[in-house]
Amino acid sequence: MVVWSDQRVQKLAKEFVCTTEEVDILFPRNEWLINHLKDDPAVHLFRDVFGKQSPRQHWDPNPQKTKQGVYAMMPDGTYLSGRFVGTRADQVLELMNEALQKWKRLVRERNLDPKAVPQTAALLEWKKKKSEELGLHIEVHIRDLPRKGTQKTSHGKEVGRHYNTKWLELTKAEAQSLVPTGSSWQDVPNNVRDKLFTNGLKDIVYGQSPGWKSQDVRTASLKVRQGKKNRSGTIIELAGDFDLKDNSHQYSGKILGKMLYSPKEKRITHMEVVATGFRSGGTTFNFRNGDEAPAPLGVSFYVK
Amino acid sequence: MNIFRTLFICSLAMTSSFAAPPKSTELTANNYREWIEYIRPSGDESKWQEIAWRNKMMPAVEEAKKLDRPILLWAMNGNPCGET
Repeated sequence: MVVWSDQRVQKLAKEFVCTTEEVDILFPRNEWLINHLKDDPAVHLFRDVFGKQSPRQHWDPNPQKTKQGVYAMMPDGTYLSGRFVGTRADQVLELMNEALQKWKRLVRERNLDPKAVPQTAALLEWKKKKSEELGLHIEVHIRDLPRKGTQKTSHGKEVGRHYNTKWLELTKAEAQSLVPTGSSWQDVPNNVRDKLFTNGLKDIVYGQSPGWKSQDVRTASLKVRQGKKNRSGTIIELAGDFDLKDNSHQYSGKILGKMLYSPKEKRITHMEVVATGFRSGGTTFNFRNGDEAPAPLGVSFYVK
Repeated sequence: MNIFRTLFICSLAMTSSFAAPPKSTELTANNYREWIEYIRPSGDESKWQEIAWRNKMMPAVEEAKKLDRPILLWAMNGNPCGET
């Protein structure tokens, strides 16, 4: 989100304990989650304490509507400020300034003793932890690719200006199955190939989309072979193609790239793989309405 | 809710620059890295990571209590910092 790149926002952020969270576990909307999280302290704090104090323009009272956004509160849930999703830097700055003003008043009223917030990097720590636990923790990015004769999608977005990120996890055994035994092409096991394709090759540039089902894999191939060796290890070349289709959307194309296997660490340590192809159609929440015609989409798989 | 899923329901509307695409639209062994560069977020697009985000609400609440600090919460469909 470009809003967080704003230097003024970054400076003010140091005044807060900043946290990200999955909104559906703070404000569950389906019956199973509502029951599952009925005694959850985070739900209580966000939905029942903070939400009830939020002004209506920044908190849709409809319990079925998402509560994605940026919010500021005291640790006891006292409302400081908030903005629903779609925030811009100026809106977030306004929110932060409003929140800090109220907080400073509460510091006096409650006789608080504020201390500096440690500038730790949870994302980096999380990535390190996951890479130690898993066979491969793959950073996946998805972006529209350039279109012939136009810089706009059919639904008015500038092609290439939007992207999305997801993480894909392979167990140690799954990752090991990507390591070829020789320099001839060999097939990646179907379960690993399909996991990469059905979970990774999703059109989520503008929103969410469920993973493809196994029956949506119309055709697929994924092969690996040993390439050159260098001081760090053995290059693994990867190549394949895919055609994924259900009753509402399709994505078909090629996948190509390289990985590095470290004999010292006995694992793949680097991955640079990309899929390009044409997508069409859409799903309920991937916001392709008006842009259903075939158009190029790219997905990168990266580990470093 | 289990570890990870997709991120950011509302995609990341960027105004910053990103890498130029390869000249050929065909994916080849010669240009695959250029495609990766084009698809992956640019430096400007990744600056949100420079903020010291915690990735779970309640530990952040406990920390804020100890520090007597306010909380800034970025709540999305899919945790931007991965762990849910």
